[in-house]
Formats: sequence, C-alpha cells, structure tokens
Amino acid sequence: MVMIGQIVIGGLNGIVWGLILALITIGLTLILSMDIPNVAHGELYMIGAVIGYFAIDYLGFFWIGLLIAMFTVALIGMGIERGVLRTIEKDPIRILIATFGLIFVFQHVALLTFGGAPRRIDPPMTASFSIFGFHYPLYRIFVALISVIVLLGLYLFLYRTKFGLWIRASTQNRDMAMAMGIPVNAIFMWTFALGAALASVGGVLSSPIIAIEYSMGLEMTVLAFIIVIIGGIGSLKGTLIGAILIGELEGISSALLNPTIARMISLIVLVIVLIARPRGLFSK
Amino acid sequence: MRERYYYIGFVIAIAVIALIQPFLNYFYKILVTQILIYSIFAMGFNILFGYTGELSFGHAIFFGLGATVVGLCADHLSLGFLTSIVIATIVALGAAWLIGFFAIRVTGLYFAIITIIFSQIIYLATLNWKWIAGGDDGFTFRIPSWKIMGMTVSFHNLQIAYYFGLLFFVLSFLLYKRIIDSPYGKVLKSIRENEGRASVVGYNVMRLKLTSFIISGGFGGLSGALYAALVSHYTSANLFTIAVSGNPVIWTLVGGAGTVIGPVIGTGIMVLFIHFISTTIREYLMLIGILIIVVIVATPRGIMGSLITYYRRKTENEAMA
Repeated sequence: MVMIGQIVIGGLNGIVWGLILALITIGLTLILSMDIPNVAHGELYMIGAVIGYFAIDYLGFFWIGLLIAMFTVALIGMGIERGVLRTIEKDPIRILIATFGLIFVFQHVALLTFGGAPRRIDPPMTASFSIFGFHYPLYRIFVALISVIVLLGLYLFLYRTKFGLWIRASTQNRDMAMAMGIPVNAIFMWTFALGAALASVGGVLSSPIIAIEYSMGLEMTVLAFIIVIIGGIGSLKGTLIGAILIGELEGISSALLNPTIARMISLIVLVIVLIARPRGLFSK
Repeated sequence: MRERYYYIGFVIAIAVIALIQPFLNYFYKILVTQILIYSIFAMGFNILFGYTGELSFGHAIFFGLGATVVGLCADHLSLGFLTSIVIATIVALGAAWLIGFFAIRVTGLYFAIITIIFSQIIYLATLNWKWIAGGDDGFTFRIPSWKIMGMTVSFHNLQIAYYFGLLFFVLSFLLYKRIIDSPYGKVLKSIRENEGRASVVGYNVMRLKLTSFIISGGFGGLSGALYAALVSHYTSANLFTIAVSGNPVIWTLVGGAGTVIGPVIGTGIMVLFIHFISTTIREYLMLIGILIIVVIVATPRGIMGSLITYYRRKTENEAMA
C-alpha cells in the first residue's frame, strides 16, 4: 500500500515536474530553431528563480515577483541576443562557445549575489489535500494548471496570430522570410526574449518545490537538452511529449530509488534513443 | 627550412625550461610543472577542436578519470608510477570511445551538447558515489617510489616531478606534432574545412571524427594522470566539473586553435594569469567566462592565429611591392 502510494505521489510529481520542464524546454526549442545552440538556457532558468526570490522577498507578493522575474529575464535575453550573439550570427560554433562562456558568468553572478546555500521561495498557497495517506500540496496542482494555460497560450500565439506566423516563417527560412518583408532581425530578438521568459517562469514556479541553487542551471541545461534530443530537435510536439516522459520517469524513479539514479535513467533513455532513433522520437 | 627553425626553437625552449629549474622558487616550480602537464590537455583538445573542427565541453571527464584512476591504482593496488599512468590513459581512451560512439550519432553542434550531458551526469555520479573519487572531499594518495641502483626516486619530490613533467610534455608534443603532420592529420583538417567534400571524396567522416575525439580524450587522460601523480597527489569530484572542461577551451582559444604551438602558449598565459588574479579576485571563473566571450567575439584566431595571419599578409604585401 505504501509502495502504491509512493508510486502515485511520484507519478503526480512527475506530471507537475514534466509540465514545468515543458515550459523551459519549449523555450529552448524556440531558441534552437533560430540556429542558436544556447547551452546557457538553464542559466536563464536559474537567474529567473534568483530574481524571483529577491523580488518576492522584497515585495511579498508571489505573482508580482513572477512577472518581474519574467520581464527582467526577457530583457537580459534581448541584451544577450543583441550584444553578444548578433555580432557572431551565422557562425553557430562561435555562438555555442559564447553561450558556454555565459554559463560561467551567470553562475558566478548568482554566487556573488545569492550565495552558495540553497534557498526556497514560500509557496503562495499552503493548502494541501490528502491522497493515499500522504498530504499533497495544492500549489503543485496549481503549477500544473498554470503551465498548461501558458502552453495553450503559446500554441495560440504561434499558430493563430500574425506574430506567431512571422516567428515560424523566420525560423523556417530566414532569407525567404526577409524577402517577404518580415522584420526577421527584430523577430529573432523577440523570440530569444520569449524563450528566456519561458525559462524564467519555469524557474520561479518550481522554486517553492525544489530549492534554488546557483548550480541548478547547468543541471537544467542537461535535462532540457536530453528532452530536446529525445523529442527530436526542432519539434514542439516532440519536446512537449519528451518533457512529460522525462518528468514522469524522474518523478517515479526518484520516489522509489534516488535522484542520482533517476538522472542516470534519463541518460540511459537518451542513449537508447540515440542508438535506435538518432533524430529523436518525433523528428520531422 | 622553416621546419628546421621550428625544431631548433623547440630544442632551445626545452633546454631553457630544463636549465632554469634550480633558479625557480617553490611556487614557480609548481606553476611550470602545471603548465607543462596542462599543455598536454590543451594539445589533445586542439586536435579535436582546432584541427577537426569538432567541439567538446566534456573534456573534464577524461582529465578527472585520469587523475581518479591513478588515485585508485595507487590507493588500492599500490601500483607504480608508469603502470598507473598507462592504465589511466587506457581508461580515458576507452571512455572517449564509449561516449564518442553515442555522441557521433547526432549531427553538427549537438555533439558538443552530448558531451556536456555526459560530463554533468558523470560529475553527479562522482559527487554522490563516494567510492569513485571520494565525492566532494576527494582523497589523497601516495605514489610508491622507484628504487634504482640504491637511489630512491620519489614522485613527491618537486624537482623529480618537474623533470618528469617536462619529459612527458616533450614526448606528448612530438606525438602531437607527428599526428598533425601525418596524412591522418591532413584529412582531419579537410573535415574542418569542408565536411561534405571530405565525405564525397571517400573519407569516413564519422569514423575520423570519432578517432579524433578518442585521441584527444587520451591526451586528456594522460594529462589528468600526470597531474594527480606528480603535482596534486589528490583527486576529487571537482575534477569533473564544467570549470575543468572550460580550461582547454579557453587555453586553446587564447593561444590559437588550429595552430601547433598555440595551445601551449595559451596554457602558459592563462595559468599564470589565473594564478595572479585568483589571489585577489575570488570569483575569477566569472572573468574566465567573460574572457571566453570576448575572445570568441573579437579574436577567434587567438594569439598565434593572429600572428600567423599578420605575417602572411606582410609577406604577401612585400611580394606584391
């Protein structure tokens, strides 16, 4: 009975965690579709959580802190795109190395301002309900709902608005989009900002569940790329399914075994996918 | 003719390093030994990045494995210096083969990203499973001394370490130069210049990239093994971090990727630079990050690359005039 309870709780955690992962990795997929191999994506998630922590600590309102973190990280993203990546565009290997350098910058800025000790944000709601004799916090269900709403909104934005059409056109064929009069350069900046904002939302939403730490960005980068490669690079649907799959896998295996083994299992899944379907499960 | 100048310069440089040893104080002896050993790491990385055009952000795996295998050999099996180093290098080669075997399946830049994934998960494993490298605390060990004709050669003696570092540096450099100048090295360069054409001409590009990754991993393992056996006598999970993977990237970039001597010069400059700033600035890794960005944006050719282009342009102008 306890075992079943653990599996159910692990499964629930997995769904919540998978939806948060989906927010972050879909942000990454958007950035990757512009040929920007951004290995500092996890750092945007981490810096979002850190900014959220300070804003919520100062203001006392969770949701306002979330918005502040989102807009600040979007601005940081724009700065990176304009200031660093734009100067070396069309040379992905240099972009890759530059974003690798950004990892060190973000990690140590966080270490200087936030410190090395892990800290948690208080959840905006403390209610819980009981399931199989365990108390399950209502906040997590709420996070899952918010993630679904954001993902739906993103879908409508990308597939039902003119701006979304522009984004899809510019990432599919840059020169052709430019010839059609789409402001591709501006679109790229806004898309990068959107991807960064999604990562930071994931960061703030997850920080009442898992503690914020300066080193968590790199772990997220690793997880996000595992998901992107499993799902098929460039496929939004694949990314979403990959995120839920890995979230579920890590949720259940951390509940039954331990987090290190859970990460190993994700790696093994990646290796199996690389051997069987090197282009990912849902590649175009 | 130019080749001969290179060799004369190389012999003079080695002779100078060998002769100045007695005049250096304790810290400079350690620094020079470190630079010599780290250069092996950078040279290996240059074969992959500079000559094949393939990136790896996970070279800490091989450096850390080299150091850890030497530690485990000395601690549990009390194996001698040379045996441990040979075993450590073979283990690193094996690990590079295994990781490269999986990573090579994705195209282009995702190769580098797979190396990050592997390196971070191996770091997580070494951090939590203390039997590998002692976790965050690590462990120290003693390398058994050699007894030759009544003399004792202790690897905990700094002068011995200095000359052994120099010896291995020279051997590795000759091997590295031999690889680059060989037909194999020329094919690697052709992959860097135009992968599609190299494959159309009939070269097995995947296989060549994989062997280049394995060779470069082997150099990394040797460097880590020598570092643990001669300098630190210590290993820990921290040798597997992204900061260690970043080292050969910045060394090679500063010195000049794809130039023979560039990585060695880059290593020398950066090790001295970090030695001096780390005493005053605590978060010096942030500076390393900024430096990586500045170098890649402003001068991706590095010091040697820029010098070579400068001289080439100058001689061309003189020929025209």
